[in-house]
Amino acid sequence: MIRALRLVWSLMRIPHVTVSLFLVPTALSLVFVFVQLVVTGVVVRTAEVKPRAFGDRLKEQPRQDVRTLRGILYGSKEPRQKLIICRWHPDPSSSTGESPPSPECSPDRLDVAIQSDAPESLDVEMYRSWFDGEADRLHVCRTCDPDVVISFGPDGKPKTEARSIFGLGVLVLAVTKRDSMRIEHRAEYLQVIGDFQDTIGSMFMFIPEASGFVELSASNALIPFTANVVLVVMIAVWLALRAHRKVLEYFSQNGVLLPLVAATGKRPFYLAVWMLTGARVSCFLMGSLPMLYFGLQSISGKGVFESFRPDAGMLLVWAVALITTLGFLTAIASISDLKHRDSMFALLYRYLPFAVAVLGAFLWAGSFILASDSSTSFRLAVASTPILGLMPLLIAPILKLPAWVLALHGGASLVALLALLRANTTWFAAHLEEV
Amino acid sequence: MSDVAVSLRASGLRVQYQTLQALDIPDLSERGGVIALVGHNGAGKSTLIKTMLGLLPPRRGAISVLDSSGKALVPEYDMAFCPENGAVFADISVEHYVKLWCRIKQGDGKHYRKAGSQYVEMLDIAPLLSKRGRELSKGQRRRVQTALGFMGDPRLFLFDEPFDGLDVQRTIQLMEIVEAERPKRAFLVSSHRMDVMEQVADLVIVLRHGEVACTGSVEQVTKTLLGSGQSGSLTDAMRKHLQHDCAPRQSSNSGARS
Repeated sequence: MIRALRLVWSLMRIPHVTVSLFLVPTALSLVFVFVQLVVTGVVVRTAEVKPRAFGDRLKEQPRQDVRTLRGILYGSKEPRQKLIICRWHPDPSSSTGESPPSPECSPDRLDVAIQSDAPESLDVEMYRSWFDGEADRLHVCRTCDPDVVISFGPDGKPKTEARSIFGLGVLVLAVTKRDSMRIEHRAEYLQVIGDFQDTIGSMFMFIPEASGFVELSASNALIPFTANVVLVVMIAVWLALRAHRKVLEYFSQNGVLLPLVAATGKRPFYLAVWMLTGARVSCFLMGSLPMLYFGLQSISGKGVFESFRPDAGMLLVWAVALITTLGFLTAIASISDLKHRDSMFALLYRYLPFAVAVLGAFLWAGSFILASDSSTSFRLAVASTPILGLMPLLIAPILKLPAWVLALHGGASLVALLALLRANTTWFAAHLEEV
Repeated sequence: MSDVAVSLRASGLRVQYQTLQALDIPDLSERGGVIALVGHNGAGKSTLIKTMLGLLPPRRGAISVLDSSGKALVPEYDMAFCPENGAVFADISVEHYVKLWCRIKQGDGKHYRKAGSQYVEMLDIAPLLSKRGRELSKGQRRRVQTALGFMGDPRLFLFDEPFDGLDVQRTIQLMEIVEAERPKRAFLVSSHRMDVMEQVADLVIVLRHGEVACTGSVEQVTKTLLGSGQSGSLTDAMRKHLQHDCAPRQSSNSGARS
């Protein structure tokens, strides 16, 4: 024990070990947790907005953008007056060979021109619908060239040139006008959804195997809680397993592993590695748990943890099951990575468990189609099986799965994890220098 | 043979790397002060050292190292090990590494300036202390690790290929160090340098394909490997041994057997 502590203390004084084992991973992991909390907060806030209010906001937003752009281009935020169509006529006295039909058609830089060989007869109705209210004049001419010029190639295909940044602004206004129409449709749809929600109230779902109704609303504080706890456990497990690899790799790369293990003895050496692992995970938890506590309070309200009290037992079993099953998964990936990293099947070993978990998720979700007792039993069996039942386990607090299912899953994962570590101890002992 | 000589005892020892049989020593009982472990590449020399240090668990059987009173040596307390390439962390200074080692082994980071200073001097480590591990040559790394091994005052020092890559001057220096330390501790040296082994070893163990081919003093092993009526050095004997199958395992050092 003293030898292991000495070793830990000595290793912690190596800058590389301290930085790569503690500082960088802890800082990165805390950033992950912070980002996850921010994202959760944004999602919850967004989901809490009533569809009707969201629709109103949606309608208002582009309108404001358009008004700002109009203000920049024309000095006024209001829509322009009715679009004047100016079909130019031939005029031999003009230098360009044509002139506008009336004084009010005198060209301006922010006008739009359609260059055509037959200005008198060109159908401009489609262009009128685009630019009406967003430009003052639409010139149909042979050669006139304000800041927006639409012309036709020999094959009849149109092409538009914005000859200044202001011309581009006029085009953006025309496009946004159409976008506003689409948004208005969406806002109307949200209005209908809002009406529907007002009529039926909060939504709950009944799952036969659940211990209660599952609330499908943003106000369900278990959703952000579950999402964030899962992330924290995943990071903690990853940090724990990665710590072993990191220490062994660092020693091995420097050729120090064997002399050091020989000098300290295997048991104190591994005890020291475990101590370093524990310290690394503790560093992360000391930073992330307060962040999680205050973050969830800010997202779901100060009384959020009080509201979990009735489910405290189930949540505890869930957390233990989560740690063991994710530990088992990561151990498989980590050990296979070490043992078979030179094999062409390394990827298979590493990702097969995750593929099995995805398959389990599909089977579990798919069985909801069959509303029978056997499908309920099937789901319970899947949820109780390590790896296969990972998905239901991850969202178990939201689904209110029975505690015995979680206990079974966690227990089986723990047994499998211990068996895996035991089976590989000899191999690692024999291949220390290859690690 | 001095009191510091150690006895190697193995019975039914089998060490495997997955399906590859690395060592198969049904029984071994030899005693020596400077034990040379020789054999071709892959003969099992490093594997035997690792097994003695407890780094490799045998599939079957056991090997132990006993002192003159018959007490088994504990690897982490009574043995020191210097691997073929030496050992120093690349990104820290040698002094930092030496302090780390002294802190782990002696519980005092300044041990190398006190009781351990004679080995710093003997192996000429002082000029290296300010350098980083990556700036050291293979030979320098081995010198550092050798000094650290001596500082732990082991009863058995295990060297894996210590003469590999050393120039003449450093080879002689290391031989002199072994000679100087001989009264204080035993050595087990795995090496291909038969000319050196011939001069320092009092017991030679020849390994072949994971088995003990023969054991004994330098003269006895040379005679055994060369065959009766022929004379030559250990180098000649090993050359012949590697060319032809060695005779079935036999101990020619019955006097040295404990």
